[in-house]
Amino acid sequence: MSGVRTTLLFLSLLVGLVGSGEARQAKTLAEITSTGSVTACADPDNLPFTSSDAQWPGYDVEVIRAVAAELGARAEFKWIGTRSARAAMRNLLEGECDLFPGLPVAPGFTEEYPQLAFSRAYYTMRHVVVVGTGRPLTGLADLRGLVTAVEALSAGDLFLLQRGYPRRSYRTQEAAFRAVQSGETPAALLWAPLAGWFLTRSSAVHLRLVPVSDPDLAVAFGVAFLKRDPALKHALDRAIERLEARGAIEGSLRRYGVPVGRAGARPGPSIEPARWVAAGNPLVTPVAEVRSVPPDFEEGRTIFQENCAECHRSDGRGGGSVPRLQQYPFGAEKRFIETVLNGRNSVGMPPWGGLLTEAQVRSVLAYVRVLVPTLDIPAGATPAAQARLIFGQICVTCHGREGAGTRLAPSLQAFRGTDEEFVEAVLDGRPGTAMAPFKSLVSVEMAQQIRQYVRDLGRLN
Amino acid sequence: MAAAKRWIPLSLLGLLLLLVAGGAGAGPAGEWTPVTDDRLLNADREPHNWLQYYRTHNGWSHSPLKQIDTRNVKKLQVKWMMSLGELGEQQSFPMINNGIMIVTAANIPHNTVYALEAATGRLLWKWTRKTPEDLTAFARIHPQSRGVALYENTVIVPTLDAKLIALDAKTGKQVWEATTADYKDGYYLNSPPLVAKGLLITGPAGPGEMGIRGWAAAFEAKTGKEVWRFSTVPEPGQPGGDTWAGDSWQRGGGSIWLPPTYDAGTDTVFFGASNPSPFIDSVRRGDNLYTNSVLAVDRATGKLKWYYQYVPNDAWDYDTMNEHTVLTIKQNGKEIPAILSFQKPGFMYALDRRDGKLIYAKKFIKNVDWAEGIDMKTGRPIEAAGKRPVMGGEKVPICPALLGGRNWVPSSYNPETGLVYVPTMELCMKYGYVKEVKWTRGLAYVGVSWDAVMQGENAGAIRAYNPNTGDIVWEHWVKAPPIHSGILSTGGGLVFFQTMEGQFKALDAKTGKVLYEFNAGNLASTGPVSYAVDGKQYVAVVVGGKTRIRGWLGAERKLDHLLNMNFNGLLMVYGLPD
Repeated sequence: MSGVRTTLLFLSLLVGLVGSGEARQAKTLAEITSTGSVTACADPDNLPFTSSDAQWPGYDVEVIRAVAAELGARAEFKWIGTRSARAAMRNLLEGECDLFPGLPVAPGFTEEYPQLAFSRAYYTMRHVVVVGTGRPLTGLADLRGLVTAVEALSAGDLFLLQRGYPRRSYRTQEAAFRAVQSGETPAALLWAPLAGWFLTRSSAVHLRLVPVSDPDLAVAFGVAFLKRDPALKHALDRAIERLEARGAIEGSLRRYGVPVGRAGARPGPSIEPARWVAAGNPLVTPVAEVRSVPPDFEEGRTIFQENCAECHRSDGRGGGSVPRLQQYPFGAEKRFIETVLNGRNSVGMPPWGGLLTEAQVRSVLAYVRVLVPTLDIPAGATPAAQARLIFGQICVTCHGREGAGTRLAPSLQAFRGTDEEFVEAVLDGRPGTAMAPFKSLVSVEMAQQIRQYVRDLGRLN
Repeated sequence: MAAAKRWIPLSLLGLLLLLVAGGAGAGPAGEWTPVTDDRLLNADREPHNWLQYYRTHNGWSHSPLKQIDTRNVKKLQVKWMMSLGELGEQQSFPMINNGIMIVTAANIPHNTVYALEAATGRLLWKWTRKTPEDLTAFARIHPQSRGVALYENTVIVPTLDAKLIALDAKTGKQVWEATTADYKDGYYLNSPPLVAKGLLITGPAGPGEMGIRGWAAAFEAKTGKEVWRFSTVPEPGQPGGDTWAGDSWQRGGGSIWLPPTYDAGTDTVFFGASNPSPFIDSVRRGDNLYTNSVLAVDRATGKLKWYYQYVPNDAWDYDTMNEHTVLTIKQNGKEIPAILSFQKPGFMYALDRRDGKLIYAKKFIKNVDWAEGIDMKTGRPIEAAGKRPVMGGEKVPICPALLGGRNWVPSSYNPETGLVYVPTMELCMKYGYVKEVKWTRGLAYVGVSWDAVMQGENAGAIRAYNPNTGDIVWEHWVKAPPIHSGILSTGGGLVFFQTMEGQFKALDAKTGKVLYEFNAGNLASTGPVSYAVDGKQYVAVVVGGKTRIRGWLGAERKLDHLLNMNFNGLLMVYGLPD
């Protein structure tokens, strides 16, 4: 799940799960400028932070590209998984990459890695309260009287726990966001970039973000690298300063819907500045041109309602051979875009390539994200029939007709966990995967029925 | 030429046999025979053929063939079938010229034409053409072809990129091509042109849903050269130009969905000009001429003789697309030359075809609540209060649904029973407007959201009407609304159609009793035609369903059974056992 892993990574880092490794040869500044190339480690699927998608690479990737350009080099990427923080950090420690953007510049983390140096922070990640536009809310104190959705064991969760505010825990930040979107909870306390990203992608017009300035809920992020060349630290800091002066970093953040406010901002600490010797003479090159435009929700709505709703219906529920678009899985953006542009002749989906641009399709997706889930269950359907219908209307989107899996999601027939684990996955989703929680739509009993239905499907096959 | 002369007595002999047998007609299979203006004008004299869209210029969609009749129809069987090679809704009417059948298929990315032996289905030639990759929205959503026009030795194909293409009827090779409009604006041709006295007369789909101005035009049938053009949405300064608020005329709509009918006696063409664009009335205050009107146009010059607007300032997509059947209405001992039409809003109209004067207007379905009736003085509907939605407001319950009291498929008039057979729908809707609507070139411009609501257990009926009075003579109820169940009546006293559930049926034309039923297993998507080859009568119908069915009917749980049906384009040909 986009973004979630970074948060998990961050948390696990704070509690010191990560050990140290042995350094190999990372590039010095001179080597970077002479070869014109610098390698950064990044997760290929961790938006809004990092992604291997050319059009939406994530703001950390955009920043590292701009920083590299400032150094007179081109940023190459080593795509790594970040589900295991230890394994992720090993790439940097062992010199597989020269730079690692988007790591916390905070004592709990930096002290864990004495062999690493950190650039000046280019972004301070804060929290926001996600709340309906109609609900008056000015600050955290107003959460006292509300049930607030949080990610279990997240900073926001612990923060509310300490203050004794009522809260409801979800498995992921996204699940907590969706809980507010669907009206299940009145508010959520989330990491600002994730909330901003979810909001951009869903464009839930009925929601707003209220920035939280509390320093206990803020962490500065910078670029980490091996302590090998003091000149590199200096060059990176200067590069970041120049980008900040040009507003380039803020521009990247805004593109991903990250709330950028000055109120209550805590300046990102620059670690150990005194120890570094000013050196290096980075070449100044222009920042790479912005190649993408943000999704335009209004345009997406118009295109969807005028051109797609005739089959997919105005609420996106589809039906028959027409797929449901509600709760379109995060992580399946590529499939969405490919399907819209190329069509699926065998099921009657016309191709829209040549008419709609990819940016317009992304706008449609942004609109699709806000479609509220509905289920088509006739009154009087038996629980078994209901399970079959729910499977056919929701699960099939990712797991395929027979539940045998698609490239989006694994085979359910091959599920080897216990029934309890199955039910839990249905209700709460599976963090770190595209599996969304469905407890707002199905009960425990219905999840058990679905388990039985999937088992029967397996038997038939 | 001596050899040619020798054949004359033989062909006369054939004609003689036909008259004696009074049966299935001659229809020798084999060589293409030129489809002259005379043959088209007198198409009723060739019972074995189906040379044009409604078979005859008057829009009757009736075959006089009587080999298959009320007594033997129960023996009907499938004689041959052909896959049309395209998925999705295939709306083609096969054309038959002396044993040769021309049938089309269309989908993104192809327009395809097949020439077949009409008795066996053997393929003679196939022509296929790739559609441009930047086709506009509505042509993608409704990429249809309703067949071809025949003229002399050519087959004239309407295309999804708004061209008319003439093919050599013997080889399938292209002869000429005419661009009727810029398809990038949203125009496309799905219906074949009317052919009348050397002219191809047609108009485009697209305007009413794409926010562009509709037109009707005539092209030389031999060359494709444009002869005249008539805009269905006048500009400011032109007659009717003041019926559009502001610059709304620029996005006015007024598609010509279907071939016009033609009265050779007065040399008049009758077009149905469809809905204004977008569907939201408040965006385009005024009567919005000539949308939702019948236009009586001089064939040779394109000059408007008269018009009659059924729904001024349409708010519901109650568009005027259907055929205007040319017939004679008998009232109080008088015979009035008339056009009769069954319109989407649920009213049938008989108009004097010489001047457009209203003879009568009457509800032809039960569920009509948007208007109480038609004012006989002004000809305008007497609208019920509260049936026009407001932008972004609550959905309004209204009957009929925007699919209409009937949809595009043809009715059929049998001169022997004197009845008109119509696929009618009893479907209502909850209907609302979006909050705002924006026009973008190439994308749809509609602005509505609706859910179908059934009023009982059956959403439609095939009904027989007395054209003189508008009275229902019989009705045959069907569960799913017969959106695409076109009607064929025959001289054998039968009414053929296919239900949306896939049942091919023959009813007794006098009573509506079911005489034959066959599960073709494929959703109806058009209407049947009948023809004969070597004395044997056939009934051919293209089936193929519609993905859009879910979007249209999905909110109505009673129609769930339609949703799992497949939609393969298929041509089915029925006949009696040999």
